[in-house]
Amino acid sequence: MTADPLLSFDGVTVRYPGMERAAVGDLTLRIGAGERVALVGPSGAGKSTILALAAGLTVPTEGRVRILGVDSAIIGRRANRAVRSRIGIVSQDYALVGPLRAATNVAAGRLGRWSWPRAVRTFVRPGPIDEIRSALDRVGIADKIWERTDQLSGGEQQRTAIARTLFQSPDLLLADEPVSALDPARSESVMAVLADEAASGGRALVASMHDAPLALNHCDRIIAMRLGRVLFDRPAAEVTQDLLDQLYHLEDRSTA
Amino acid sequence: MTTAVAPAARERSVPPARWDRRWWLVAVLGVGGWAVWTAGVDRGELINERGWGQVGDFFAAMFQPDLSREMLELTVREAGVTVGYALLGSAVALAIGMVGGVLLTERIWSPQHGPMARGRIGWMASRVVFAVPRSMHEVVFGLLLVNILGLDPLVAVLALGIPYGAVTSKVFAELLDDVPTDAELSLRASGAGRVTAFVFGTVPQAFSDLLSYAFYRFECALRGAAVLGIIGAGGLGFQLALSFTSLRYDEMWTLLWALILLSGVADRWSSAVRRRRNALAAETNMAADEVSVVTDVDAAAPAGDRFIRLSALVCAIGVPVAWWWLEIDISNLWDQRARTLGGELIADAWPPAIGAGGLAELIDDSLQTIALAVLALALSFIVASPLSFLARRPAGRTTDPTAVARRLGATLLRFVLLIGRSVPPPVWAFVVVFVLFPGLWPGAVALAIYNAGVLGRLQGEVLENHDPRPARQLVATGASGGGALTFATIPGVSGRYVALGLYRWEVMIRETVIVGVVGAAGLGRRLDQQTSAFDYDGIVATIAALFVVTLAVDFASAAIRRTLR
Repeated sequence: MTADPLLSFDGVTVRYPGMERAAVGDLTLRIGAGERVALVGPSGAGKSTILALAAGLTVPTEGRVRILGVDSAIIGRRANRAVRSRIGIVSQDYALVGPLRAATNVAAGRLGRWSWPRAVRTFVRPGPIDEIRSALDRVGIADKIWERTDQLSGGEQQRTAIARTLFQSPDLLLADEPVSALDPARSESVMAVLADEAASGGRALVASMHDAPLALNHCDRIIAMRLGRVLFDRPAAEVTQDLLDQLYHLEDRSTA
Repeated sequence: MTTAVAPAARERSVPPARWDRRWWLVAVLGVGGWAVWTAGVDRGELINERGWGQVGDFFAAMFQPDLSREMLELTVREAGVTVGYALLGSAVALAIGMVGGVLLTERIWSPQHGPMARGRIGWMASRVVFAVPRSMHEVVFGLLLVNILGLDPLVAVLALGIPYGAVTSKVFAELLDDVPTDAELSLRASGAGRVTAFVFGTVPQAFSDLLSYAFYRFECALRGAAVLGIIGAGGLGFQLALSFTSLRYDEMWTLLWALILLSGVADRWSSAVRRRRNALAAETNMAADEVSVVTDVDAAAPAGDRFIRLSALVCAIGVPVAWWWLEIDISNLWDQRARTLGGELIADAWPPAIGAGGLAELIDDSLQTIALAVLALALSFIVASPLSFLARRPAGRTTDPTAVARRLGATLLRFVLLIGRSVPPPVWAFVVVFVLFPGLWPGAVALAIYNAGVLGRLQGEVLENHDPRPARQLVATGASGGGALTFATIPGVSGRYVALGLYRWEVMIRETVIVGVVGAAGLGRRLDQQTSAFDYDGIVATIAALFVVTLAVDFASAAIRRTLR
């Protein structure tokens, strides 16, 4: 298949003010339909910046990012709302609204498809309730549906954020450390849900991950980052323990 | 298929009702309805159609202020007096706050420092002592002090300083109690005395918050100084009252523009100082976790500290200058005349007398005061909340026409809010009385205009400090602006909005006195009549009633905030 990639980076560099080193340097990348990509590497390697670029939340200092065929510089425009509704984001801070019930936060996933009157109606009575419940059920917290979100534990909040994205059912699923607050068994099952979601028809998952074995288990492509640059980018099957050791070991030396 | 088991709550398809919230809604509607009923809606004549011309004349003069040389010289001189009052008043408040703040901390009285029972009594006693001046508006102090000191600038300085000092003490105590105890305890463990450990272990950690709160007080003091002028203490407010009695609107607007300018500068300054230190949170009794802190805030803190210190230095120079400029003579406080007049006042005032109307009339006036504050709160909240959204500075610096137009509109709205809070409430009351027949309504509308200006600004700050990430993410995943507003921004700020409204309600109860002075209604009108009749034992009874009403409202407001948290 030679269809357009869902996500493409061309010579992308990002510099933050007051930082000497570029957060991401001269990155070129294509991510196509059906791919499940894990971004691995030590903190500060540029994983979150890549996800912010892919979400259109950050624009490159140099180079160009195309998201679902649209230049990221103009994806924020009103006319591109329909395109944005196909991007799903699970951010590291969850971006949930604390005083609202879990159900309402999940319902917000589909705001991209709703007119404002419909949004207001849904705010008062979240729905379709069966689908909201099933999204929460897939991450194992259907019983929390009517709880206030800020009363949930960290792990439950993270799963609520994931359920919101599942309910949204986007084509491009971006997740920043999506299971960082979950225990190992729960991490496995939630990652399986995310990978499963991306496997169905013309979609892709890009997730940054700290836990390399988990990434190898659930993703089929591994992009290793270090100091804003790609160290290696290869199928999960070809990633050896040696390569991973190298990735984290190098960082140890550089920070020592 | 039938099941005998009722579906569990989690299987419902409709959100379970939150009864506590429903009861509050019923209570709010009930109290609002009662206030409207008390003020009267069916009284037939409510609006005086013939008054609109005068209102038009008043606002037309806005664009034609008297710019003659004498008027400008007068305005600058009187503005100096008003700023001087505000500066010295805040300095007194700060001095009282530093002592009172320590006395009111739970920590100082807590078991680590002494026997529990004794400590508890000491803490309660100091809270009651400080609650009395806090419940009284600066104008009430002004009216009393004027009878002892005559027309002396000390009247204004003390009238501002004493009640503000009491409020500052309470806030300082809350800020100090929020400081972790580790440093103090380790100093104590290594042999430091109780006071030494507190001064060196705890105070430094809260210092920046204390200072930035002091600046917020200065901003309030400036507006307070203008109001005090109206009752005769001099400065811009006094000239305003003179120009009004001769119906010189052009002169009034020269003075009002000066007030707007001063108030705008003070607001900017105090926001800049406070931007990084949300000390206001302490005043509104919010838990720290409800003050949303944007991540890059901490990185900027050192620069904020420098700015705070520089501002403190400017004020430190300003205080002696104001002292000299206002020709303050402290000995007037205890000279023969003050002692005689003070003695006579106390002799006259004791015992308190409820007056001819009896207790029933006093209670009726107290209820009217509460109704007045409820109406003012409802009106100002309904106006200010949407305005705060429309008036916020849009993010980004795009130059396309709609963005520029929106930015312009927001700036204009912020200016309207500034006018609302810069014009003293008694002046608003004078204007409103042109079109509304005297009673509760004009007082409520006047207080509402003024407080919408204050509330809109405070809510705007909440909006600016509010975590933008949930809304940004919703927009990034396709939500419309309205959708993100409904699902993220409004639910995110509504708790703080309500808390600020309740905090203003407590303030409005005190402010009913200043619209009462122009004959609105309730305890304020009563106080005004008693002052003109030198009926001091009656005044004491009225002040006692005000104290009870204020305490009741503070208590109710604290209870509501607790359940909404």
